[in-house]
Amino acid sequence: MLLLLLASPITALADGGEDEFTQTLDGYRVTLVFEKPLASGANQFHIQVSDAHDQTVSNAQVEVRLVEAKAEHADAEESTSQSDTHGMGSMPEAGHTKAEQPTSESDMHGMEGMSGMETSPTALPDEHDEMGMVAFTAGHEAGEYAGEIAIAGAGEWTIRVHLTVENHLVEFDFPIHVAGSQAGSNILLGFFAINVVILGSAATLKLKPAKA
Amino acid sequence: MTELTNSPLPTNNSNLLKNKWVGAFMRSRWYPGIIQWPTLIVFMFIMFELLLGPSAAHDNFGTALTWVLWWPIIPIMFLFLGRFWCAICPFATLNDLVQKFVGNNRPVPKFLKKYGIWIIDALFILITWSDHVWGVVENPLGSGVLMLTLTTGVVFSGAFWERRTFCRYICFLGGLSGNYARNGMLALSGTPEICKTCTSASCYKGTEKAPGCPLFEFPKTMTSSANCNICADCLKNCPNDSIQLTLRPPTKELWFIRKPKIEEAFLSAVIMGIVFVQNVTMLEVWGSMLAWLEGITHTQSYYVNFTITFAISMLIPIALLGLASLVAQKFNGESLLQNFTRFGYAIIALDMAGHIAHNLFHLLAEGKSVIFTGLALVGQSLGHDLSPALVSPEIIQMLQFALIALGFAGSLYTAYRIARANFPAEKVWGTFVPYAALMVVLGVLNIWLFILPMAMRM
Repeated sequence: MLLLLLASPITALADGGEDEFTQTLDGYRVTLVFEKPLASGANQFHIQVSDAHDQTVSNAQVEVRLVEAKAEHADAEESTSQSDTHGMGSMPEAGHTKAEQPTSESDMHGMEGMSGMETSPTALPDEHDEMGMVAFTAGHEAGEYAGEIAIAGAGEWTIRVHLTVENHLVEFDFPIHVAGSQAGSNILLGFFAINVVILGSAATLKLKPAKA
Repeated sequence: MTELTNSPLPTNNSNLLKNKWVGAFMRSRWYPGIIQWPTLIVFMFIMFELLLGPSAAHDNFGTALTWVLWWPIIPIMFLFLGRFWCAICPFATLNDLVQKFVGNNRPVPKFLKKYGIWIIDALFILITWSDHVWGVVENPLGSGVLMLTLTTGVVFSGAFWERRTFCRYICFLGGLSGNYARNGMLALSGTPEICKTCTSASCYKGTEKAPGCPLFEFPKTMTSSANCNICADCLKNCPNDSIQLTLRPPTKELWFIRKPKIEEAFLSAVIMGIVFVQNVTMLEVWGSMLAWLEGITHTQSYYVNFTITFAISMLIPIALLGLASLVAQKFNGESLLQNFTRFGYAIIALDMAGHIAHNLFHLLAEGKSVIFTGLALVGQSLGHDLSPALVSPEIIQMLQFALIALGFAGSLYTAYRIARANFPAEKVWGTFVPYAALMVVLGVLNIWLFILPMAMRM
């Protein structure tokens, strides 16, 4: 029973059961391909990267982090407020704004310049990150990068991909929704039923008079 | 004096029950219930958290309590208190409850009596394997399912079979605790001079004061602490005040195992293998090792590659023990199997040290996660990016080395004492040397594994 239950873990599916998410930005097309339906817990997936000419990009540095969506919104609001106060541009946040609204390829091209920036190790602060950057390693195919992220639970999340090609960083935000799971309740109910049957059988046998 | 040196459960004047506080507490009707019931409540809360709490281990209070706090503490408890945990274990309490209301109290099936330890061995291996391939520890739901499966087994056992059949013959933790309790410092026994004149057997059968021994032991003839959970039922039942509770040096019982069993010796070798596999898979180089293995097996299947690693880890201590026994056979004339069985017990001290040392990392490097996840339950947070460590990695590593050194010394000395207790003087050193070499190899392997950086559990 334990083997059967553990062998078939119950997962929380992403909306619509999608296992691929694609965005094009700054001349790069990034596709997240999940090996299993998106779920809370550890998720292995790979990322395919190609350029404007649809050629695979094999010399990229790909890093991924998971950001809680509401925290990210708070960051964005705070940033906007600070920008207004100091009269500074909001370019570093522009990438975030775009990523929250996955759009068609043409829309993305229209905002190209805003998300591109030079790589800077200090340009990535985010107090609300659920985990640090995870470096994805080259996969089996050209332009493919593989790795794993852990999703803490159901809700709105953003998978943030940092793509660095020849010292040029492009940031992609993939908003995802992980549906809540009834797995725990269902398992509890299942075991409860089994135990009730055992207890019922034992009680019945106990009441049964012994044979002469 | 002869009694003191040759009996695993010595009688001496250090009877802790003579202390009025200890004696009164253990004889009172509140013991062990006063500890048992709160433990059951905490267990139910943990189950609730595991099944219905946050799905990420990192955020789950149940995971933190179980795998960061309880699991590392339990082998330490076995060392100091023997199998006392089994007296307050929530599964045992549940067994007693079920038995009270619907128990059929049938005799223990013969197959359980005959193959109980083998079943425990198999379950232990299976659960460890399952943990790695399906992620029981790092998945709260998986941990919950494991707990519920054990609960169901306990309910079944309590409903149909007498006493604590599950704890004695099926529970994998019971098997582990039985082995470790032999190494433990606390021993309960009857006083031979008093017991030999007793014909009531109240300790085994039970009286109106308390039930008979839940683990089917008879203190009058008991020669091991492996199946004594210090529940004190025998103490309450004994009409002659024969029961005593004494302290003894760790490993002492292992020096005089009267009827060594192959399945118990096998379990001690398996535990060493499990310590290896737990360490290896948590090393930061595990990823590289797996990639190397994938290259050899030509498959990326984790099931396949981990199973191979697992099997090799299990086989290393078994094969090394077999090899030492083969060499010892040349010197003492006993068969390989007899030597394997007799000297397998000597590994227990190193098993325990390796087990504690491994889990010490989780307890000390992740200990604060219990506080963090506990606070998160009530909507509080101490902030992000705080280290869960209680002490520095250097201190942890130093403690790990010290533990392995103690375990090594314990195993080495135990092997010597077993050789001395079972063979004439001219055969002692020839028998001992192969096992000394075995302990050196196992000790060095453990030290090497603890030198390498380890990954967190949560």
